[in-house]
Amino acid sequence: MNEIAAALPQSAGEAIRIEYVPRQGLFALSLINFLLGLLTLTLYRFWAKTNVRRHIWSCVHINGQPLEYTGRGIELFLGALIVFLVFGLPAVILIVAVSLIYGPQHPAIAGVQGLLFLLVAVLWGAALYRARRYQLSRTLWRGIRGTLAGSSMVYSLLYFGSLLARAVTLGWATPVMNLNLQEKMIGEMRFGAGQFRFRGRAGPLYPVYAVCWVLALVAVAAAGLIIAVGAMGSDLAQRLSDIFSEQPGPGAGQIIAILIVVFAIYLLLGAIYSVIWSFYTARELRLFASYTSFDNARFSMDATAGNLIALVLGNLLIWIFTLGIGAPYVRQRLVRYLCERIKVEGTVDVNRIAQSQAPLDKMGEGLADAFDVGGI
Amino acid sequence: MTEANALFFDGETALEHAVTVQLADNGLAISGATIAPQDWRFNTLLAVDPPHADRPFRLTSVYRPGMRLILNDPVFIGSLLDRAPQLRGGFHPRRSGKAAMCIIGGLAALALTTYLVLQFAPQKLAFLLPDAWRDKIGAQIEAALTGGAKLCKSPSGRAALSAMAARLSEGNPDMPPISINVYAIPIMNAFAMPGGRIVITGELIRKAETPEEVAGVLAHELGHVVHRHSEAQLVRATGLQLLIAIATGGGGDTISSLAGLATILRYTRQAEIEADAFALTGLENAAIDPLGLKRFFELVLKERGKTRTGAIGQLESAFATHPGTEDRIKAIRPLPDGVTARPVLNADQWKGLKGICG
Repeated sequence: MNEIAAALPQSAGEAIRIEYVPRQGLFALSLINFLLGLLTLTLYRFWAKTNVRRHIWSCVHINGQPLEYTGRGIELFLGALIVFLVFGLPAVILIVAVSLIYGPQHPAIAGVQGLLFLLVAVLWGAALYRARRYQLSRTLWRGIRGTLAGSSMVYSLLYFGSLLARAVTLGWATPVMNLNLQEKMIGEMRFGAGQFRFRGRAGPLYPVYAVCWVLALVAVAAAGLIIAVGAMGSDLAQRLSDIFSEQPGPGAGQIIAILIVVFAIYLLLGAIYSVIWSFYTARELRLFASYTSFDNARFSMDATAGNLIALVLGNLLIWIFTLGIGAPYVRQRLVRYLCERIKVEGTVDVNRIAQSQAPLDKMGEGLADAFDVGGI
Repeated sequence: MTEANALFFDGETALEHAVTVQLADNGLAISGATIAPQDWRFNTLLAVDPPHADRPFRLTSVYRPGMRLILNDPVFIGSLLDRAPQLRGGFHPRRSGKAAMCIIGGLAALALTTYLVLQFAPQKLAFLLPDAWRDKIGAQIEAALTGGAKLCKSPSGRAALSAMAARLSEGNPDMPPISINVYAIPIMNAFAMPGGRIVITGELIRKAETPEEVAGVLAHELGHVVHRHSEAQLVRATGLQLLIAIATGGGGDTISSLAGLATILRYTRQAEIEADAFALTGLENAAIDPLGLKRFFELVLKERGKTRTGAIGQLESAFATHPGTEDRIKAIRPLPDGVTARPVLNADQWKGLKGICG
């Protein structure tokens, strides 16, 4: 039981209602962000991201009061600059120097690249954690901000461990490792001085994981078989080898046709794979939400494979048909999905929640920007 | 209307305070049963969002950035905006000026960096590269460029090439150390690479009718070596990749190769003109007839119609992208009056060179 809740009568709490109330202005914001992004060789992205977040946050109303995003573009910019100076630049210089000294084909370059890849894998979790912490610390509701109270490096090691465990077990560690990661992230999440809690077991995830795993394997094997048979039937292999040899082979039309077929197979396979796994993802979202509580309130989430697929597919189509200009709408749909599907049962004694005493990061999300992660 | 009911959050707890706000002479007076009275002067007020008819108006103070005052009364908001017009947002001459300065400053910084990285630094850095590095890079580029082509090394042919190089350095005491190799490659071309390496194709020597043509090409490639053009291109391509990595936060691999090729080609024109100028001066100083170089250019123009595929085609098109061959032909002038051309090679040496690939 929560300390605050234990000290007070239950009746002091209030029910929590989350709503997404859209505002005008996202269209203009999308256009301005896109144009300034072009003009500044994408450097405007930090300010663009900030403007979009400020807009979307202010549309999220909890019990009638909107969220407020207080982050600034310059913080994201400085964060990215620092990461570039301590991580990106030395990495580039190292690669360039090694290839200058040993030549572009030397195995030492692959070694250096392997080490850098390992470093990225080790730091990936820290990037996620720090981005989440920055966003929480720049989110105000009723004047109170959030934070993550734990260490990003501990989370990062756990994340790296989960990658290894998943690889070693051919994926079967995924439910357990995802649960551990979520437990760490949610358990360390604070709103003001109030703690989120996460308690539960990964067991209920395994039946659906097993079904998805087998289906995915069958789908990949079937696709492989179809491609192999198709390739032999239409002597695709011969045509491909014609393309790569210097002899006069197929014309440009044939090459394009083959590329389209390969791309279509790739796309179809990706779609089938996503559809299969969305059943697992939906189950995981529902279960993890039900394991989450704050004060005397429990969370639940109405995520289904169908509505997840609709969300992802819709976002993909927006991306493709607006050539990326509609990115803010993609973010809005994501936040809106969460607002409309997350329900809170029970009560929170909101009036007693004290401000967070955690120091504020001066800069934000450098690693996450470098790795291109960080969610919303 | 000088008084209204409002909501207030003190930034200490999430408790919602019902307060009364008064429009005083120089600011807002906020008071309520559950808060310490606040006096926020008009010029210290900040709007969290610009005022909008459909939404409550959220305010904070420069000195109390954690506090929030939420006004709902449209009449009161109207009178407040009259007293504190900065809250309206929108166009502000001073703020717009500042933003414009930021944008202009940013663009200027961008232009300066681009100039430094692409135009100024490469030529300077090219002369700072350690010789050991230049040599290694040059050796690798030579190996990559020539692929598995046969190295032509008949002793008499190589002796003739050395004699030609020695003759070209006659008027040029600062000639850097160079190595010249001929490869049996079936296209007409010559390349200067880092570390003073020059590659001439067997086809060029086969097609040449006089030693002066080969000497003209060699003088041109020497120009590239002296100006360290290939080293500068290397630095430029690396710098461009760095710039793109900075701008996009890394991961610019796909764009960089395209952008890199475009800028390198743009600088190639300038480098070619410098190399031509060097060649013409060098030929003049060594009393070699520059019309050989002219004939070589004319041959290149004729060859341009034919295209081939594969690695060889790429070698060829690398030369075809050298722009303005016609202009360069026009720039070649005969030796000045009073200078008599002396032959570059004697008949035996020329025969040796023609037979360098066996």
